[in-house]
Amino acid sequence: MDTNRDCGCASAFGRIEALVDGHLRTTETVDVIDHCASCESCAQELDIVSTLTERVKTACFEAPPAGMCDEILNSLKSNP
Amino acid sequence: MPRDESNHESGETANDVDDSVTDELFLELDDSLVREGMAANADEIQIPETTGWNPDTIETDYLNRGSFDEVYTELFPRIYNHVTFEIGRLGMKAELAGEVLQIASRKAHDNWDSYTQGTYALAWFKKIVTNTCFNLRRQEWTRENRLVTTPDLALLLDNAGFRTPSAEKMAIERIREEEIRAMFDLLPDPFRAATKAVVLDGMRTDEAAELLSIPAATVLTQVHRGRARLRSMITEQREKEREI
Repeated sequence: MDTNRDCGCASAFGRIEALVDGHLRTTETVDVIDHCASCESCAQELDIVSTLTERVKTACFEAPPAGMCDEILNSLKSNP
Repeated sequence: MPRDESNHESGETANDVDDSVTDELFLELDDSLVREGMAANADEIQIPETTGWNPDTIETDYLNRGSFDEVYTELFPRIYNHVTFEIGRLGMKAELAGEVLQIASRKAHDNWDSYTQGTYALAWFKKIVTNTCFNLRRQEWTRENRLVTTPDLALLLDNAGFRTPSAEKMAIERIREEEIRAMFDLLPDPFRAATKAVVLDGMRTDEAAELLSIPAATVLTQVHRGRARLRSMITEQREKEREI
């Protein structure tokens, strides 16, 4: 890893949620990821925030549209 | 809002779990044992060269008894849930859900006899869905014809190096989905609205700000506070359980 790129804890920590939410540009993402690769506390925060986010997304997931299951099953039978 | 009980966070890789052991573990109906991401490669599934069989008449003999149609119909909400999860995780367009489902369902249907009897059918479907999503994502990269100097965000977060054990993470992983939903509903209105817009609906900050008629900086603050409140509630619950 190029340590010259390390943006430091203060910078990385404050951008972890934005990273997990997909709001960072590629270069910023690289900065944060590179820092987390060498900083256990920031890596842990990234892990916790991403895990929490995934679990919330999964718990509150959107139901499939009505009839979608039947449509797919019918398409499987009509186009063997 | 209909919901299911699936758990997408396993933290395990293909190298961590021996297949023979995994099959036995799946019998315990623990979704946390389902391998995800790059580790869940549907190419591992053995597909027979001969197809002298009818998927509609083959029955499983353990957890998900019945024909393909019966098992698929029963599991469909959770399969759909996994599709939307993977699409979000890989940063794919939401409208690809139907295409992913069609491709994955076709693959599952045509290879129903390769589903190992006595194992967990949902895990088998999830593997196929995940593999389908990754294949489509790779195709998108190829079409975009751009250098991927950094792996996609979702793939980065899959990196085991960023999966570090901690008491808080374990508490988040272990909490039941109905508890998460209840906690989410308990968030103060401004926090819940901003968190829903950004985290659940995937809006950019400026989009959420326009929707909620508040400054973008306030959106960021409220999402942060929403997450912090959820973390606090989960930690408190863990402490209560310890006391019992």
